Amino acid sequence: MKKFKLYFDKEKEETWLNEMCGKGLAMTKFFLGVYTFAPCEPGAYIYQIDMPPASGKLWEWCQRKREYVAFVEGTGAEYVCSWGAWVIFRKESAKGEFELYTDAESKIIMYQRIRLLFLAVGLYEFVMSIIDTYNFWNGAKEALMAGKGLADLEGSHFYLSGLAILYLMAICMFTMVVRFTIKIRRVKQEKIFS
Amino acid sequence: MDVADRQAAMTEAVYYILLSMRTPNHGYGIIQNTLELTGGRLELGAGTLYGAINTLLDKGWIQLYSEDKKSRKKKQYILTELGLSALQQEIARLEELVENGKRIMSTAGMGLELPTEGAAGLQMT
Repeated sequence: MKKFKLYFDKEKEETWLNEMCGKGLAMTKFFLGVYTFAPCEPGAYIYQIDMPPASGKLWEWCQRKREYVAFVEGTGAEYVCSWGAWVIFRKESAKGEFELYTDAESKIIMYQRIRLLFLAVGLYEFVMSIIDTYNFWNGAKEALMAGKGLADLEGSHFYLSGLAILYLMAICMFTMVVRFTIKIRRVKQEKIFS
Repeated sequence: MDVADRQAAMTEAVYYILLSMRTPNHGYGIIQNTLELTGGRLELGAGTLYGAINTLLDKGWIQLYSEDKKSRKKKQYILTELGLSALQQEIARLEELVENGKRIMSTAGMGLELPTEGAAGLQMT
């Protein structure tokens, strides 16, 4: 079975995957928002979504990710799939608890990693939208000044809707930066009392 | 003790990871050992453990002991001299913590003193 969903918050995605598994559908693949599920015993697995550390040189990232996956597999979990910087693991619930980050310190570092990625992608999308807006204005201003409407410009609807999506993505990314900042602050507050 | 020698308090995870590396140990072994030592209370997550191992390697508190090329999963680590002295320092700090706690809790009696009447109104400020 396949399902299409877009998640930006890995914790909501995790909850959903675990709910699906509770209904007897175990996630096995992910591609461009399409999740593939295979039938399983209800609640057979616990899913965890992770963004492994990617320090060091750029060309060593893949190697480090493989190392990390092997390390996690060595602790009894199973690698499900990977998407960009994200990795999804699962563990048979019969084997007990499954949580990748078990203290505040490591949770904060992981959240900071995710926040940095959203910030980088958001900034990139924002800069691209500004450049594209500028280009569009440059190409269209004479016609618009002359009193023509947007409808008279060929391909303008297509271009503008693309631009709108780009702006929307940038806003989504920045929203996630804020959301993860709140998560980090919450974990830090809990840390004081534990 | 020099100011430079003073180290920050270890997290519970780091403390048990170091204890588990007194003899050569690998990731899964560290998790199992910690579970045993704490009677099942503390189960280290793989992400937490991986991050801590890398930090400890960078600090020079642990080192790679052996690597099984065939299985990839079996990298064993062991404490270094530096790690050993850090662990001893931490144990001394923890002892101080517990001794102070026990001493004060045993001499002050079990009951808590009630605030004096004048202070009761000031409590919320």
